[in-house]
Amino acid sequence: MREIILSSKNLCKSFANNGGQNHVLDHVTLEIYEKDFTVIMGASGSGKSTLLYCLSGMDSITSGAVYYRQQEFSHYSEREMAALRAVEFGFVFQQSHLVSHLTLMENIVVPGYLGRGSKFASGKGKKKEKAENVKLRALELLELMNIADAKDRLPSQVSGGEAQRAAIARAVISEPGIILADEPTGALNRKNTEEVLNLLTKLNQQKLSVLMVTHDIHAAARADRLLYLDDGRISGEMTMPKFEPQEARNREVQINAWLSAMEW
Amino acid sequence: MEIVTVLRANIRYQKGSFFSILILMLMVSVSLTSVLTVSINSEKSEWEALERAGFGTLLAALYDQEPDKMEHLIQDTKANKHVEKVEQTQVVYGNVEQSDAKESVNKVILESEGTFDFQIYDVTGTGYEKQPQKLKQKEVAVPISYTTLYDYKIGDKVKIKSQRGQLEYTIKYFFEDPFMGSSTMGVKTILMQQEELNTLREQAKQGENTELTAGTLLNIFQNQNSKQSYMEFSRELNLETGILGYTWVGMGTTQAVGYMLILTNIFSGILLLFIILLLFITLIIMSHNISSSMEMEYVNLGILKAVGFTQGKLRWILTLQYLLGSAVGALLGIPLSIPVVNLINRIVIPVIGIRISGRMPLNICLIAEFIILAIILLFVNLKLRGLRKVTPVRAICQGRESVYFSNPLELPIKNRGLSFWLAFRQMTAGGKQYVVAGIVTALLVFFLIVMGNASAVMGEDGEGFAQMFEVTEQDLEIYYNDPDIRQKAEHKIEEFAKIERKFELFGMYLLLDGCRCYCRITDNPEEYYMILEGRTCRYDNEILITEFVAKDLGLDIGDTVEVSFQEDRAEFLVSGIYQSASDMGINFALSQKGYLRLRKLNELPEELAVAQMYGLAKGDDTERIAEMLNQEYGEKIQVSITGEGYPGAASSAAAVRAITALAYVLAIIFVLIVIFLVCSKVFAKEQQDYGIYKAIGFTSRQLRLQFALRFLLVSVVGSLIGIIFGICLNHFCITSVLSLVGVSHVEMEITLLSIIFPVFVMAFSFFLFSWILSIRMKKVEPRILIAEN
Repeated sequence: MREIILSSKNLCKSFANNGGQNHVLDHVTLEIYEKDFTVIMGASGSGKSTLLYCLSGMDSITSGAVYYRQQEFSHYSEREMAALRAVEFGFVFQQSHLVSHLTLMENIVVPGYLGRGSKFASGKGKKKEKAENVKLRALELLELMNIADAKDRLPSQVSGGEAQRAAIARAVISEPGIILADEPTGALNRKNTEEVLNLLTKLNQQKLSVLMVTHDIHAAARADRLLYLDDGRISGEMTMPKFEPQEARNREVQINAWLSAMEW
Repeated sequence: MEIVTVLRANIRYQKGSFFSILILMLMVSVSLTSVLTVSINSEKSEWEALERAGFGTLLAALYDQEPDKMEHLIQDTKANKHVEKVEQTQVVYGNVEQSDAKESVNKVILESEGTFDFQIYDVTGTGYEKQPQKLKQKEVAVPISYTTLYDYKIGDKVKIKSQRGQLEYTIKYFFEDPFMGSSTMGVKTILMQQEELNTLREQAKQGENTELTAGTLLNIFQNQNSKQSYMEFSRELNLETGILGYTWVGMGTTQAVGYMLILTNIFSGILLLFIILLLFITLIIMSHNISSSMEMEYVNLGILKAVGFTQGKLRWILTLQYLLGSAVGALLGIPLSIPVVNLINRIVIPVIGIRISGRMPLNICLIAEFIILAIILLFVNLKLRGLRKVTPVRAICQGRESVYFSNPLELPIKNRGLSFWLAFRQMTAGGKQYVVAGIVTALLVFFLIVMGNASAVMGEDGEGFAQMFEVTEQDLEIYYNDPDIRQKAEHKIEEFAKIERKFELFGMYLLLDGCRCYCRITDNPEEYYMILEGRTCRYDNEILITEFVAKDLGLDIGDTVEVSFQEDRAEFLVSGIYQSASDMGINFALSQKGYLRLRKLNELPEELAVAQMYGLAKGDDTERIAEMLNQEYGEKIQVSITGEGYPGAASSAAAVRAITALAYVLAIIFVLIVIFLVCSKVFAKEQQDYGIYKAIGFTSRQLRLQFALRFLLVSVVGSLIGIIFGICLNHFCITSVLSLVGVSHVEMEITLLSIIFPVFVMAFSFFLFSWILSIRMKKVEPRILIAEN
């Protein structure tokens, strides 16, 4: 039986709007499984990014509950939530969102330093991890991301693709349980898009769970599980075998057909 | 109309900056208006009071001479072509006995009620009595400064020293003496009934009461057509008549104004320096605000240009925006300074002895505010030259890029003390936005260090300041009214402490090249301790002069000068320059041998009041010894301890302390405003970074700590610069202010506390305020920040 890494029960999120309420997420109940590459798709304004942020504790929820490895964290204090994010969640945003005055290397090591010392870190045996180990792992990641030469450069001094790869390295430095990616290729050209998707796929192949929000069918083709969000509700689901590069085109056709069925 | 619309929108949008500038200017305006009002009004009120009371150009308090001699002197004076008239009054010179051994300067001129048209204070001590009652027998009126000097109240007894025991008088009321009523002056006037004064004069003249001396006051009026300055007038008059050689006190009204207003001058001088500093800081803050606003509003400015606003119009809008805040603050400051002026007056009146008008010199204040606003207008316009660089296309396409470049000051981010290293990086990366906070800290720390050291130089009770008026260093100063007890008293002292040094010292007015100057005379000239150049007046033909005398009379070491007293004259050689603030620095010193040579005497005349000075082994309790001697010998002895020779020292020290406290309060308010302005800009600029930090696992508390640490670091760096400035300029600043009262040279060491305390206050304020203001970080959720991009 597959293990659930992230889940929600009756998750609701509303925003106040001109005296009324705008219900963005409407009793969403879902489960994200470990080692899966899950993609959430949906039309613009369907609430998919909001769902991602609520699932990751980056945004508050109006009602319902959110669980990480069966542990409800919607009631966590800010301190506990920050520790959970630092150790268990790795974020990749549409923009690279690196801290502008830190070098690529520093952008990667800072969350690595930060994750240690919390109760979540002890579960991973990292409570007393030496700073040197974090640095070594950062260097390995820089090599893996093919940006080792740019490690001492500031974000403003590298290309968008390099910055996004550094952002992925930052997301995995703490060896999180899951990577949460919000349109990670939305701001990249084709070449860089391919590089970033390959990296995410590679990480998933290394048994790391990935939850990605996208409206790009080409990116969605990397998933082995797709969820469709419509008007704040999960209205469809499709599963596929693990990604193989030679099957990419076929997967896109399948997804296209599925989306048509979802009236995308 | 479009200008007004955009201007209103800008003010609404940037109301924080608008009100901060308004508050800064309000503080500058309140301080400036108050200082101008007190300074101008005190001088004006002093002159008005002198005129109202009927003082002429020069007041000569003569010892009574033989009738022929006296008449001759008066006629000679009247005959001078620059003299309009001479008013003559008979008085008595004496001493007031204080029960408190600490006060030794208590010389008084006893004169009859009505000699001068003095104003009488009402019971509140701030207004005048319209119809004061006449003094009755055994009643006196004393200057209002007695309330601060001796803590006297109406109904208290004043004891005048007399050979027939103490003469006790009841204080009927306090009066305004604009000539020598300030607590900073050593001789005071006491008013009494004419009949009683006549009795005292008779006793003095008959030699029945040697504690009292009969004298005559000559109130000399300079001819209105005379174009001579006071110095020229008094010098020429004296050369012709020798009148000043016969005086106990001789002083011009211009000199009296200087002595009377010493405190207000010190107060105003220091505050004016501080206000200039505050104005400078305000301009720096404004400069930072304009630069960062232009940077952040780059897109909006570009859009406004794109829709047809010219650079000139935009400049006008922004100029008006800053000028409006400044002008409102400046104008509001004028009425708000009224209570401040009233408060200062309430404090100052009992100290300087005259009532200062609270009416504001509106024209001058408005002109001063106008000049400040003109400076701001010019400054803002210069700063807005940067608007030229705003191009609509670039603004609309991408805005002004905020690109960070590597900084040589950047240090690696370390695991241990992560928050500190991140704060340090944020500070070095932020660059110029923290420069303003650094400069403001540097200036404030510099001023606070100077004020701290000024307070230390003055001493807790003004003893340091009082010492500047001394020419010798001693622990005990004793006048033996009965010479026979001297030996016994010395044995008594030695029961408590070892007498290490012993010398005689007295002072009197002599003429130095025709100018009446106070002269100190000692039997051991090596005791003159503050010799700045040359050497002491070791031989009987040598004198020491102060830097001020050297400058005024054009003298230098090696020059020959004539010293005279009545008919006696002798030439002396200037052997050195020394320091003493006595008589605002216009004084000189002789050896006892030199004095005897001048007077052609073999020994000192008996009537001279010569003090015996004692230097005791360190750490001895002089206060206890003085108390013990007073108890043991009562009226046969008059003991005072170091630092009590100058009556205004305590008030002056208190004034400096009050300004220091005020400076701390204003500095903290300025820090708050600076942090508010800088934080707002930094926060707006770094919102995205906070979102990222939160997303990767930082808590609000950690981010707030980093934020506050940044400002703490900035304040420490600024403080270091302030300390360097303080160390370099401390001496210059303190000497400049003290030169107003005749001190040309101050020996001081910067105390560690005077550095640590302001740095601590600044650092703590920066940390605390930035921590408090960063509370809004708590409300920021990372998703909201990130979604904004």
